[in-house]
Amino acid sequence: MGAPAINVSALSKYYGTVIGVDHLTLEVETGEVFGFLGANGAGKTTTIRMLVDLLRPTSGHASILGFDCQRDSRDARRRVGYLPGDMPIYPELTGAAYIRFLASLDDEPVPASRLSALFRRFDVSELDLSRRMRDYSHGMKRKLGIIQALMRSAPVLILDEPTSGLDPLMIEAFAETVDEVSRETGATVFLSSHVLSEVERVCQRIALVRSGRLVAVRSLGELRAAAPRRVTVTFAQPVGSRPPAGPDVTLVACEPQRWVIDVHGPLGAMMASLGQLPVADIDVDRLGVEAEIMRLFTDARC
Amino acid sequence: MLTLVRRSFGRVAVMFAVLAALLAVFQVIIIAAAASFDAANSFGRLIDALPQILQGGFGLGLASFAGMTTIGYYHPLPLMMIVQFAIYVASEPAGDVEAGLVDLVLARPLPRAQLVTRSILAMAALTLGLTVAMGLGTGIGMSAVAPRTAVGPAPRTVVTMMAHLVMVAWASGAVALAVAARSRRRVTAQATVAVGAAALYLVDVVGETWPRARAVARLLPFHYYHGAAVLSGTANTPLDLSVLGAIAVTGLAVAYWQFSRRDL
Repeated sequence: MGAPAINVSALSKYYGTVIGVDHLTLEVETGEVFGFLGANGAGKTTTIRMLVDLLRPTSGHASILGFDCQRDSRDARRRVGYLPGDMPIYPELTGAAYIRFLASLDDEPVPASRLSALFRRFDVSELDLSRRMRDYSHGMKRKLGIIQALMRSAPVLILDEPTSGLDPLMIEAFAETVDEVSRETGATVFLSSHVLSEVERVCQRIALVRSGRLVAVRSLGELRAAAPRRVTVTFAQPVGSRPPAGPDVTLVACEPQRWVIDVHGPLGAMMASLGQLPVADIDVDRLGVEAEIMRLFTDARC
Repeated sequence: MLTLVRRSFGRVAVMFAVLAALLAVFQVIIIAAAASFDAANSFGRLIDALPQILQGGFGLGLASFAGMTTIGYYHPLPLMMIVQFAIYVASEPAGDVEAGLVDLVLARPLPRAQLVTRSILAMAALTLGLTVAMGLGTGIGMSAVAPRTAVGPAPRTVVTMMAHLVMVAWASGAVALAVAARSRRRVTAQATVAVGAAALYLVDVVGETWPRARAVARLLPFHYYHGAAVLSGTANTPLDLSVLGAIAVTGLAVAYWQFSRRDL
């Protein structure tokens, strides 16, 4: 079995007394689309910038396809397509010159057909490419950022908040591209985000970070299975009692003739407690992955 | 590497062209002024009008047509223009960090040191280019506005002054690069070294007449480029260029070391 695409081991970065990343350990398998989730300042960008050797860890280490991100930095970076969180530009360059410049820094030439396909996919016209970047909108800069990261056909893509500032059509185009790249080339995609729906759409597995520490690593399947169900109970007449309490039960609303309860795990105990009550209707909905992710974050805060 | 150097050239092309034109025109104007003083035979009065503090530095340069035509190579205005330009170009790594451009460039398989090497090459070539523009201005001035009978400066003198000027600029640029290699803001790196260079130049000028400042001036780069000494043939050119070269090499070594170990 080969080395994992990305291996992070007890990685820490401290800025004096401020914690950037604290003993982060995770592994991303080859070909996986992996989401790295956290609020602003959680340590996502710091981790990513250590992976591409822009920041030096205080302790611990990281590797990409077996190449140490610091010791074998160039070998590691040779295998990475990277989109920074804040899209830097050369304002005086046109979009075409910008892409040409970045392509010329790579070891191998970028196939024109690949570039054309990416321009088409992200709706970047010849006219757009002939304009100076200082005149670009935020979304347009972002699109060129995604294109420059994808144009290299790198086996590992590291994308820092890739869809920030993109319109819904382009977000969909991005998601399709990630699916395609992962399926057709077997590339590993490591993307950070704080948009849960985006992660749910494209990722197979996610890591949650909070205050520089790893909170949880889950597959989307696990998250879906663990997602709570929202039970809405309507009574034929007002009831005086309260819903059953418990660690797996969260009371959302409690009215005389209606209870709304989020239940994690089996429903049996909750249903049994309704036996003596004048139940008129029960509605059970499975909530999205987002609810489970929020629960994990909330648990980590406690 | 060439791609990076071309990009650096591209970013300062307009500034370089304007400065090169100004410096060349400055030379032509100086030669036209020298021709006018030569025609009126009034170089003596010009020296008398010079303040005492500037007599040592510029007196000899104003004593003859040949001397006056070289004054642009050590006049504070062109000197500071070239030195400040070298400082500006050399501070590019701090600008790249500030603008996040390192994220784009160094996420590709380039050694970090290439960004420093790029700035060295750009700074060295562009300041050399400005000095060559001054030389062209001198050539144009001598053929277009100098009197036919006037004796121009010896080519060796001009080349020696150009070498000093380039080395002072490279030394200043190297110090700026050393500061920029650990700075997160270009303006901080640039302003620190630019103001420092101007201050050191003033200390050196004051050192001409004030013995206590003269002792300090020995430690300053500008002490190793006195145009009047080159003109009179009393300058120890190998020593001057060696000291300036040593400052430049030290600055560059510090820059490589800082940039290789820092967070970007």
